[in-house]
Amino acid sequence: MINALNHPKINVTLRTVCVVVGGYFAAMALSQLIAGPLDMGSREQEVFIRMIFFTLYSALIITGFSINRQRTVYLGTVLLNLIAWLALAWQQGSIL
Amino acid sequence: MKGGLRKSMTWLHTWSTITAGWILFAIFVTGTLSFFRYEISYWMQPEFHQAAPNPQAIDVAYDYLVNNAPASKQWQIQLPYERSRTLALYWDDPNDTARRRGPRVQLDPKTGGKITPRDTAGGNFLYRFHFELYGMPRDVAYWIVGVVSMMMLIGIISGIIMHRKIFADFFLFRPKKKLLSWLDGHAITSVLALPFHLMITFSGILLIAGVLLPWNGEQRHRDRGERDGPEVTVVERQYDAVPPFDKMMANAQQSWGVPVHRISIENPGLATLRYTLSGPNREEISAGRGGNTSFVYNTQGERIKTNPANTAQNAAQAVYNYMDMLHQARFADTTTRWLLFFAGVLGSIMVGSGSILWAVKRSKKQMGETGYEFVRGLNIGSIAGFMSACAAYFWANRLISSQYSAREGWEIATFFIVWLLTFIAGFIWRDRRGWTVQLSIAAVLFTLLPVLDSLTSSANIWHAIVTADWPRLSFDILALFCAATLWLCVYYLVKVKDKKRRAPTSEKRDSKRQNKPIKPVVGDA
Repeated sequence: MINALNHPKINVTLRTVCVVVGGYFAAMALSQLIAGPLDMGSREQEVFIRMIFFTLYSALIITGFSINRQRTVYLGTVLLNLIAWLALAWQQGSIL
Repeated sequence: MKGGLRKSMTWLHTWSTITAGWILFAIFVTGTLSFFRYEISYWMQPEFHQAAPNPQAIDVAYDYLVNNAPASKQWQIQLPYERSRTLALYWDDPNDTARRRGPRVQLDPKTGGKITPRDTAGGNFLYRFHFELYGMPRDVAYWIVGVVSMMMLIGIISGIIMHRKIFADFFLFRPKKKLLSWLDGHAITSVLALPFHLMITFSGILLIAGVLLPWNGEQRHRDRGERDGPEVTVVERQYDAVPPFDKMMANAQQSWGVPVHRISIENPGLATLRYTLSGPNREEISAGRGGNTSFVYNTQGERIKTNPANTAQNAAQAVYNYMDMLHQARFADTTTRWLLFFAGVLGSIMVGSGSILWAVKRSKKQMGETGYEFVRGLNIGSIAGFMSACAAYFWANRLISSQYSAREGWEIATFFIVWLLTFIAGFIWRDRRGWTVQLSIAAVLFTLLPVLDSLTSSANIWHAIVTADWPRLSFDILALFCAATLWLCVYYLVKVKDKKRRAPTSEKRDSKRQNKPIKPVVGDA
């Protein structure tokens, strides 16, 4: 089982899914996190998030594919999502 | 992802673009042609071609509206300008509650005759295809276009990072070396218009971001509610006075330095009549639409109000609007439009050459394998075939009878039928000959478009030259430019073939392998 998961094609597929899906959710949380404290109206915030989301998402995808170790990518994506979503929840007053 | 950053980026660049390259080429080509959307539509409605400019066009428009829409509350007149030579009139029909937009007619500015153009999707088909594709729900199309655009953006960024000597490579072209010449051509077209490629891709994603980020902001619906019921009050309107158009237009033109483009007439025939004049004098790009001033005049032709250009409400909106304006070239004059078009052509070549490069690089190792041969077939159909399909769309416009009721659908059907046929041919003849034949067909079709135009239009091409019909001539120049680019590709292919004929026998053997039946390989490509 472990050997099968170590196959290069499976590694590439898993990394792609991790970076594309994980990156999307991380960019989603981060863009809202950055826009949150800025004093903006709803329409302005919507447009700002649009622009910053795709910048962050591109950066995360590039970073995800530039790291050599597979495990670092998985761990990094999970940690980044965890921290970003917790920070967003804290910022919006959902926790603490 | 072993072997360092540059190697990882090379891998990412290859796979993010090859998997999206075929659809990206279609999006890039149709998007590039859309810079001339109005000119294409004008060309595809040859009934307009006899229309000639007339300095008194406004009087012709006014007379038509007085006689045909005397009870209307508002008239809109669009005067001929550099992208259209006809008079376009719109008015509010108080008895028609079904349509939100009122009636619209196009007139010959000289004769005042109503022009009824043939049914065609015109340039709008190509424009809509580049972000909505065709025959599928709009949201699904936005997702597909959004995903491939994102892959393109990643491809561009990783392409920049992977380059060891991006500046030096810009000046490097080695036409005598097969693989390197493809590589150099790909690099030159990429780097030469790099800011354009980045801008057009990023702004394109932003424009459809509403669908890609459904969690962001409120979903806006286009439901504008019901129209009010028909106007029952009968008002006596007087059309005896001669409107002071010359005075108003001279005043507005003096202020702006450009001719008046639109005139809106509110409450025609009443004492409360107001004229609003606006021109193509865009003063505020950050505002998006409505970035130009307009002047309001009373019945005596005295300016009573200036409506200033809109400005963006905030910095984020301003940046977004800049992106929107740049992507759609709404601000562009003729020269800028052509520059954007050339940049778009470079982008199309960049995408196309990238796909070809992928196949050329693997030809020695993977020739005959299923996945590889599939890519080769797709390359021909999606690049050379797509150009033939575009040309066939224009040919169908002129060859299908203008009286035929379903002609608009058949024009589009011709486009897809030709594209399908080129895919089939591409899978059968996947070698250099396949490319040469398909590119030659596209080149011939584009080369003969001005001839077809002259033969099937209501006015021949000489009339267009003499009367400086630039919207029509722009399209013909565009067609000849596409033809020249395609002929250049054909020349390159034939020249290389000639050299191969004189090459050692081992290379000849390689070319014989090119159309051999496909041998399936598990997990190839």
